[in-house]
Amino acid sequence: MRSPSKKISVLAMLTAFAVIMGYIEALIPFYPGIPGIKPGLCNIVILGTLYMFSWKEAFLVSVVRILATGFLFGNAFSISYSMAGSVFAIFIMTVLLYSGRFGFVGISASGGAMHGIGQLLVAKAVMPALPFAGYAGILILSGTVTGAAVGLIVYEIMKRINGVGY
Amino acid sequence: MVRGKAVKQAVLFRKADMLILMFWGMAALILFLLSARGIGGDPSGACLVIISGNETVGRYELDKDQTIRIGEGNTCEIKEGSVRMVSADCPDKLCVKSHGISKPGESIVCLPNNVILKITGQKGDADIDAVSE
Amino acid sequence: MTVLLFLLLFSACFLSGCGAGESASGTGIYFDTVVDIKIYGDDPEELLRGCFDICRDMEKTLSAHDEESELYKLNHRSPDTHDIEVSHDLAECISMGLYYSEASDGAFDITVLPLRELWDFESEDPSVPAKEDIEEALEKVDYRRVHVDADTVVFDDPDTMIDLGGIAKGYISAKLKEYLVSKGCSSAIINLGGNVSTVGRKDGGSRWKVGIQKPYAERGTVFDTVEIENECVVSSGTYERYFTEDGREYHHILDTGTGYPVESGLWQASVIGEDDILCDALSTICIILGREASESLIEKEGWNADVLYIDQDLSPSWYGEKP
Repeated sequence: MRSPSKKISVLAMLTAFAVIMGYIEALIPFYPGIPGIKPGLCNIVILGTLYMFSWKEAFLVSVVRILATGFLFGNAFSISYSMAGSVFAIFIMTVLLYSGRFGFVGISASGGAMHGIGQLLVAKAVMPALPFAGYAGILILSGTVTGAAVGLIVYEIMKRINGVGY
Repeated sequence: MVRGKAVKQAVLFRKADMLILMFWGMAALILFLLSARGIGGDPSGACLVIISGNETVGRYELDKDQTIRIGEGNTCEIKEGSVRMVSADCPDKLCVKSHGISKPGESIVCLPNNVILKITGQKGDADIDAVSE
Repeated sequence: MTVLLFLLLFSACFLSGCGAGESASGTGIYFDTVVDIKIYGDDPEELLRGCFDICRDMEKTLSAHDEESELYKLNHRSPDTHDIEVSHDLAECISMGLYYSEASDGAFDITVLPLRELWDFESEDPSVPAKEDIEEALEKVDYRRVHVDADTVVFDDPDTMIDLGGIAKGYISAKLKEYLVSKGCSSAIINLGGNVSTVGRKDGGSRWKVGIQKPYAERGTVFDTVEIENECVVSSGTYERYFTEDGREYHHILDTGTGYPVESGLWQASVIGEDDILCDALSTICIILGREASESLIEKEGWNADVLYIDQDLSPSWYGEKP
């Protein structure tokens, strides 16, 4: 990145984009009856940021996004769930991306699965009687599937903007 | 920190991706199997809540057998996932005569001593919300 | 990093705030009744506390057995007291009771307490009282000897005692509903010892599924299920309290004409409607009057309710439409 002001404006744009993704997600009537399962559109932006910058920028965009969408559409609980989920997701995606051995599908699917695990750990702390195993299975499965789809989208985007200077 | 150098070119899918997808699939499968065998929590999240004097005095998971004393007069027992009132000093003993409870929404009440044993947890979609009696 | 810290601190200030999609439920025992309330929506915990505060107030007012309650004191007044000023809730509840006593021409009678105390179905070992005692108790039963003028209850007879058992739960659930709606709540279910009352739909989605207890079956056995929205379901039945003596069953719904349990051929009546007080009173009235007489009473008064009658061979019949 050449100039810091350009970096800041790009990151701001990405954050705004992530918030919009959260808004779109809130609009889509996608509620399979199990809390925690969602398309994870925001991860398009987070994985993109991770790819173009580093884990630090991805984390920053993620935190700002969670707070913004949390206050707009959610509550204290949804914020803490998302926070835990995204820390787990960014961690695994960073490791897999930096290893250089994985494509976007694998990276993003793992991010989706870990996002679910992170959320579930918070939920388990709040509700000790939560059926952990069954729930974890559902969230890992759904996170892997939606994550793989997100990986495909990120790949298509990155392929197109790769030559634009990042 | 410097970005990983190996990712100059965007890559959609590699052989390693297949392996990691299989890994997550297996993880989910194992967790489902565990859950189906009742390991790692009851699928409905059933949990015993004890209310005495209109205050919640305790929460207990149903997978551990134990006997719990409630205040001065009542004793309940968790055995094989089912809860019963085993003794009470109330005059009618209706609570002791009640059947064991194990499913979310079920309860045993000792009116004279103001004690309620209640199973909480996720109800199925087809389940009723309340019973008019 | 500074920005990040600032954001985290900023968010901490808001973490106690409320949001959508929350729910809270609570259970307690008030006025000898298990009260179960579940509320969906914003700030459900606070609404739940508000509901249980109302229950506590109502217990001090309407409880029949609590010697500290207003109703108990009213019934145990000194013989030379003719009019007593009471709280608005008690006066309102008694005047509602008088309305249904009058509408049913005394079949449902809120002054039945002397007779009920004689039968004492709540005792450990109830038995059939002597005929003379029943006749003596019946003398004291007549709702026309009680009047309510604003918040003053006027008694014509020192022996008259008031039993709000057939209407108090309906009155309280109506109050709880009123409170919840006034606070902007759009989804809640209130269960007062089997009187089930609802606000809106379940979490804004489907209608509430309420089971109707099968008479004389194990508690929780469902005879039929109705789906309701904003309405309540109240069931009365002979199976709720009864004892057997000399091979005969004596249940707790008493005939104010004979002084003995009513024999209308019905085991149970479940009333569904939006007016909690009406449903509570009507469920008892239906058992007392039987199917035909209660149906014509509903028509005559223009009451808005559906009724499920279950007679002694467990065969059901509906007045109105099954919701």
